[in-house]
Amino acid sequence: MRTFHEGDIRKRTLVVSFFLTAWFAVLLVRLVELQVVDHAGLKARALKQSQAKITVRARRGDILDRNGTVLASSLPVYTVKLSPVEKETPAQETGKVRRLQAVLGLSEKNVADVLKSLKENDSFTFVKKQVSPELAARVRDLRLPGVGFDEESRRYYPHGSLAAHVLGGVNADESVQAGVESRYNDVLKGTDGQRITLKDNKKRNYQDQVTKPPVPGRDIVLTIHATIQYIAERALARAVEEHSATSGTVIVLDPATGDILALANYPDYDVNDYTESKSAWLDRAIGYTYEPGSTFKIVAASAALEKGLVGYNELFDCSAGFIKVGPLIISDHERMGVLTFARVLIDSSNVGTVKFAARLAAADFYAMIRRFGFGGKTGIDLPAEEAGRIRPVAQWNKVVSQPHIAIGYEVGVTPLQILRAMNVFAAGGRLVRPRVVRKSTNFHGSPVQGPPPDETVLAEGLAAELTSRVFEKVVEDGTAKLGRLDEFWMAGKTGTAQRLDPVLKAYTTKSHTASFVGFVPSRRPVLSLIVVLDDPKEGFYYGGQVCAPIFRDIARQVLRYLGVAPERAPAGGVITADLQKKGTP
Amino acid sequence: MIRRKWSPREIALGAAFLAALVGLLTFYVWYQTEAVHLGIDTGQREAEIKALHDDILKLELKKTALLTPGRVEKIARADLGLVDPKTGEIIYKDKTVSR
Repeated sequence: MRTFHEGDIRKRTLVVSFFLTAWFAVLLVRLVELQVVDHAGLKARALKQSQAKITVRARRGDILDRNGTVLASSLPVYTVKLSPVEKETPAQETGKVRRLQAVLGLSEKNVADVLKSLKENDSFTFVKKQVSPELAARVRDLRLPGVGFDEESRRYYPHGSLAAHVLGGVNADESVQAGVESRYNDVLKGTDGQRITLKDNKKRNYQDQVTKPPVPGRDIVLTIHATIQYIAERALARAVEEHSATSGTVIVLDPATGDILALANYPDYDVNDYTESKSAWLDRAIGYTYEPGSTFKIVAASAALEKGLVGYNELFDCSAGFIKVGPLIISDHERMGVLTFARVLIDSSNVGTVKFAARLAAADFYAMIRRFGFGGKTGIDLPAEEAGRIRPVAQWNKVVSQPHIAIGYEVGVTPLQILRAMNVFAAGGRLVRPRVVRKSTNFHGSPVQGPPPDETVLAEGLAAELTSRVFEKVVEDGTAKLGRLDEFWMAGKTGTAQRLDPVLKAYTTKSHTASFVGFVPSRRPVLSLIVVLDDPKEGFYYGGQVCAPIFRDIARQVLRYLGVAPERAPAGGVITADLQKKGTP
Repeated sequence: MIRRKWSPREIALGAAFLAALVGLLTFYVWYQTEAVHLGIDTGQREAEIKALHDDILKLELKKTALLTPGRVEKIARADLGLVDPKTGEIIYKDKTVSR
């Protein structure tokens, strides 16, 4: 039997100790390498694997109409992306992408692009953007390695094309382009936040920490009334179709406050497909100028009356049917005989207007044009407003310009400018500032600065007198007879302007801009309204023939909708709730 | 070299220490695992809550889209056969105007 001596034990102990020490030394070196030499890189790698810094998109504020109906809101959507997975074979990658194709409906080109990106070992590639939450959940359920999601949001307009030009629209990434979306972007957009997510080895989130909370955008309440907007859009679309016009505009205004109740343009577009509708983007109500024709006569008439240069019953000989002004011949649409000043406006005689406007000093006429707000922006809270074109007196042709401007030529105005000018008579001589946003607050919660106070253009008495002696009669038995309402007194002015032929560089009798602007009821105005149609055909092109009936139809429906009791008893009589109660046994 | 014999008291103390150490480690591991599971559960619940909020928002927008004036008018006229009232058929509540 072999016995172990102390020496043997010591030797073996030394051998074991040596190997253990060597093993520990190797471990120590590796430990130092990991913890000291490669520390920074490895820590970053570990954090990348277990942590994710995620931007939390702030929810864009909603846009509501004046009664709280949602006109624009944002819904969450996802971008599906794919990253290469280590040791995955090309066959596995193809199989994975085909499974994504089946769920997401990718085209063959998309599939080829994604596979190409994986082959080139890009850090990630977008598979599909703007994916609905339901579809994203289906993709998530596939539990495919390397598939990730970015949360975004998509602007959604539940009413489609309703109030398209007021809302404007946004691109796919919610970058703003036009309308209220653009003008009030700072209020709507909010501030993005950030969160850190900790993940386990299966990439499941087990801890979320919001490091910077997102600040959602604020909601905006418009002055627009969705139903009135719909009534205006429907009437405009029908009229454009009926008269084969190229385009048109309707604006409905609250005379006292300047609130825009409806702003409709044709052609319009579905705001959900904003980027696809470039040809219809132009907001003609504020971004398009035209020569207004006879609606502009309200300026010359106001100036002449204010200066005391003319009386309502003063007579003007318009029997020739035309008047020669330098090289120009200005004519009426028919011979009208001898007319009073009031009748000149009621029947819209160009000859009579040229005659009374000749009494005005050019400087006074120009001052009145500017007082009515022409040649400057109205200040409406929408982007891309045109100021129009009013040349200073020094640039006027000494013979031709004043008579020409008096009948609405040689000037460029927007439909909103004309409506605002006519509204002076509805608002007791005040020039209101139109607005489309009723209520909004900035990030600090304080209201966005309101408009400056209204300016006074005319004395209240003069405005009322012109309304009752001229503008009401334009509708009762003047050029806008077709626009008469049985139930209400209306006031307004028609306009028919020949358009400039861009090739001939001369006015043509084949193309016109027809318009009618007014307010109703004329003695306690509830609505101011303008209708403009470009190049109406089918035999009718006068503002009184084409636009006044559209005005009437819109006004009738809106007044009924608002429950405004008739001023004049129609054939069927008027029933009020009181009468009905009394009459019921 | 003769190994000293452990006393029963020392063996008991050692065993107790070892048991306490194992217990502590087990608790630590259990605690960590449980915390991660709870975190995962919380994350899932939060995702569900967010999904439900999104659903509510989506349904509200769907409701708004269904009540769009054009659609309502189409149903009223085409499906229900409603027509505009004649002037004498309208009952006015009062003379005040509300917008």
